[in-house]
Amino acid sequence: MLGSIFSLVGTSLIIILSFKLTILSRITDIAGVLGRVKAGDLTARTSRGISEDEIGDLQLGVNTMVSALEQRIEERKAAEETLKEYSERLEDMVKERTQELQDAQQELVRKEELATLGQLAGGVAHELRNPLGAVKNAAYFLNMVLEEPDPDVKTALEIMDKEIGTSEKIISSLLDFAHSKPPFQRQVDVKHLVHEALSRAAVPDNVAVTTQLDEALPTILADPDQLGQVFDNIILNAIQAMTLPSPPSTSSGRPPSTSSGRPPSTSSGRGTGTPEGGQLNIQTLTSSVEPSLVSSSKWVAVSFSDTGVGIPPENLDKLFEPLFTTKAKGIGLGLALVKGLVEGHGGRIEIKSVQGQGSTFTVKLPKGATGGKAA
Amino acid sequence: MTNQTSILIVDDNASLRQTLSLILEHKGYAVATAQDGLQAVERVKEKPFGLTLLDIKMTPIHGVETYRRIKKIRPEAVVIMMTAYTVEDLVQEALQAGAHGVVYKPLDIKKVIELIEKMVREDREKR
Repeated sequence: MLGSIFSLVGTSLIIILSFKLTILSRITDIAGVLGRVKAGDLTARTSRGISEDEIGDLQLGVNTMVSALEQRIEERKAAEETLKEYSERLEDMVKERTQELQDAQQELVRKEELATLGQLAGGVAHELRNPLGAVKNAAYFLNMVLEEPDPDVKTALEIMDKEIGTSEKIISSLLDFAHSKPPFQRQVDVKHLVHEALSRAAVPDNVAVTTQLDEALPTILADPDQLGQVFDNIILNAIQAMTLPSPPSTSSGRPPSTSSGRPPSTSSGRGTGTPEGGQLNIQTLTSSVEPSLVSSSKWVAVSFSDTGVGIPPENLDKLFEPLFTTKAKGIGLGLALVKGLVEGHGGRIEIKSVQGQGSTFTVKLPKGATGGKAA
Repeated sequence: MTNQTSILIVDDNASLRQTLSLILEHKGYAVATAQDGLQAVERVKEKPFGLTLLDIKMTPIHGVETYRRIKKIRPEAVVIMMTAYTVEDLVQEALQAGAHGVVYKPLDIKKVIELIEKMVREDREKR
């Protein structure tokens, strides 16, 4: 009887101890999970002996709580990420808008400067015309009355005539710049305008001119006089880049006179620092050259490639600025005029240049609404 | 051509008047000058001219107004306008008012002389 009692007590103690150990183990597990959560590990879950009792409820409650916490934190992270993206996009948009505003402001300033410069150039040119006219008349009179002048007098008169002519051309370029008008557009054949410009150009013996003009090039809506000026200036620049003993040309100081292209001489300019001449190639761009132009079917492009001295990279951005020139002669309005006229047609001018190898100016013009095939 | 035609040069620039006079006198024309529009009108009142070379940009009255006043006095007057301004509204106004031609400064004297001779010839043929 006593033995049975001891046995019962012992068994009871073992059961109680075992039960206590199990409970302790599960509570320790909960505590461990809470510790990991506290350390930031939201994947921690209780798993040890979840049973249908109060501690099991506690374990499930802890797991549910940690899962909810994990989900909340994930959601918060996602929200923060979205917010960050919005913030970055907003920054980009603000930057973009700021840049647009800055560009617009700069363009406005540039236009105002150009307008002021144009007024100044026009005013100076007009004021110079009267005194220059008087000098020109006087020179004409002397030439007229001196039938057989002394050779020195004759030389002096020739110098006067020549420099009066140069002055007139400078004045004309100032006036062209000052009074560039909206283009008077009609259907024009660009090939024809290129040929005309070449016939006006004074091409020296040491410059060879080649043309690759697409016979099927469509006509475009443009002002033939203005496009003629554009081509004149670019051709003149190309010739000067191949012949003048100066840094790469940036504008036209001397409008061209009549001549025609001839093959280059082999001796001109050697050993003097003067470029030896070279080749000017004028072509209308086709699909093999500029696929993007043809695919859009909206543009006609003419490129003028010379083998001249090229343009230093630091000058490329300034090339079309009024009064920028690296030439000994010229006032730096030629290419500014060219850019203004091309943009006045809704077109653009692009330039590629390698110093020492040459430059390519490409004039791209919109065909206009009614462009057709050239006759 | 006998060149007995009289020419009136109207320009506010004295050097231009003087040099143009020298050339035209050497060519055999009888030349008179006026330094502004008002003086030109007075000259035209005094006697008719075969041709008037008239600057557009002048004070106190500009060339187009001078032209109108000259034509009132001498409806038969032949007038060539001179200007240094290629895009001047007054140029269009002068042509619309009936000016016989416009020449631009600095003058291309050869062309101006050719134009003068043509104008004088046409004027004589009309008469």
